[in-house]
Amino acid sequence: MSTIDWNDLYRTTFPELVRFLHRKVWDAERARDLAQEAFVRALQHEPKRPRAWLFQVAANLARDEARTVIRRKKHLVLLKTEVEVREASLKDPAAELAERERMGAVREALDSLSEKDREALLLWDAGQSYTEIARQLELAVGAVGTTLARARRRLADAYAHVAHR
Amino acid sequence: MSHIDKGALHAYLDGALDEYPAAEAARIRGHLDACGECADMLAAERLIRSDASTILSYASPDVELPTLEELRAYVKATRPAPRPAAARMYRMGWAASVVLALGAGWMARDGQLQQVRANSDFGPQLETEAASPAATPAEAGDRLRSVSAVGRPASEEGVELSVLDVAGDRDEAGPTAARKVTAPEAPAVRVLGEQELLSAVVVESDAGLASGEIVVANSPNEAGVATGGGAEVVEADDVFADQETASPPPPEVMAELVAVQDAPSDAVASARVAEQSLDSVAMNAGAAEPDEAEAKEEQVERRSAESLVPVTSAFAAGGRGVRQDELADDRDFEEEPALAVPGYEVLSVTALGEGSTPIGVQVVQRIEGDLIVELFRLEPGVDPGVLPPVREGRNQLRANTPGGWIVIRGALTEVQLRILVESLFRN
Repeated sequence: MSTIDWNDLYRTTFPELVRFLHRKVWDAERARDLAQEAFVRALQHEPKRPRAWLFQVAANLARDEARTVIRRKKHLVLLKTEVEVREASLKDPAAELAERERMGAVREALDSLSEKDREALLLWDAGQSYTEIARQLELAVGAVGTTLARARRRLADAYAHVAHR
Repeated sequence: MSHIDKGALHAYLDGALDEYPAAEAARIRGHLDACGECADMLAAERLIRSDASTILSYASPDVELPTLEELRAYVKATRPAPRPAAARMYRMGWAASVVLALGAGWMARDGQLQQVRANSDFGPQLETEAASPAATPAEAGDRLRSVSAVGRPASEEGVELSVLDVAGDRDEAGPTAARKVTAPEAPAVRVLGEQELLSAVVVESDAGLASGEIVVANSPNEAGVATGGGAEVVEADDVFADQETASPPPPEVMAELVAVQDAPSDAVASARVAEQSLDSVAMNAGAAEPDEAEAKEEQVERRSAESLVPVTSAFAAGGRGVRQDELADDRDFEEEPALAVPGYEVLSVTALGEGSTPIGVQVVQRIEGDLIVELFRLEPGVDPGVLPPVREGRNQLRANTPGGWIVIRGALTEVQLRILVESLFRN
């Protein structure tokens, strides 16, 4: 019999999972779909450590997504443009532009990090503990802080560089 | 007294010192209370941490949270209940390839190979011809047995092996029963990439056992064929390879397969040794902690026990893989499916097969723009292994329905292909 409090887990983890995924696939709707897919699988599997499990599966899903998104890039860009045109008509154009530029700068800054640094940062920001991050990235717990310290500094430097270009 | 390093400072700021050994945590706290230099560094790192969090917050989407009940309902409606035995099997990780074995059995049935030539869109894929007669006359009870082993490195998911009696006992035998299947326009045994999987197919018939009909694709970088006359079926499976995690197959597996190749007169015994070896590798593969391993296995398993089986195929040409997934449980697919996915333009409908032997229908549909999907509806009993290989850049999903296999291919994700397949059954 499962002892997982699914309601609590879902409420507390789903937004973090979407945020985590969004910074990997850079598509809010897709991130939400993938987070749902991860939860669907968790509901089926009822893993012993569901939080860590969810993030591991989400990372796998995002990686799979990255493989195909390259092939669909042109298609996606076209669709996105249409969506953005529609959304832009409803928002303040200047604010919308600023938001998009800022998002693009964050993406570029994150992309400049090493994979391990980026993963550690995103997992931490998604609410994972040092122990969970260590397990997922196969690090010692003591090395997580070092990784995060480096990742944060590099992110701040890279963002400053991109934003002031 | 040594100062505190930045990693420990960030652990302090993150409230993660409780996850450190108690003595080390106490030392860090005590030092920070007493050392002005470290306190200054802590303030500087606090700013960096804050900046990083602010930057990340710029990329936070608005999340609309569906209710858990909605999610549960979705699971109930779309995902079959777990099948424990199958689940355990797939926990061993390796996807077993039976596609070829089924295809071989199907083609070899009744002692008459059927030439499979897909329609003109595909060009000739397979040709058949009579092989050299077996060295010794076949005896009654000629039997085709295939052992198909597909491996991934032990570092990831282990090994799964499948043994399948394809044709069972046959009443007729003799030289005419021995056939050869080759793919003349492509290497009969494909060269697999450095980080590719291992695929081995051993085909035995009683008629040719003495001379040994063995086909082994003993990759990672090459494939070999050993035959002694008699029946042979040569077609290495494609196996999906996770390019980021795959590594060459374990040496012990290679050794066993080479042994099979070198000892054709004892093909079945060797194959069984190989099976045991592969199994042993699988059992020893899970070095990770249970949950971690469980989550990693989910990469394969998520398409397996409950819903999708990672199948077989994947050879990565030029570093790119092709994924094929199989819907393992077909309880969702008992009703008669639509011929085409509703709501999308049908570009063509083509009968597959040749002469009086139809094997199915191919429907090509446009999803949007130049994005198309190919939908194959095969006749009952026709194995999807007869279809041409999946082209690079496309994925495949298969569903075994009472009306025959349904195969869908396109440059779409697993989830998208699944949605399309499921929509066939929602008329």
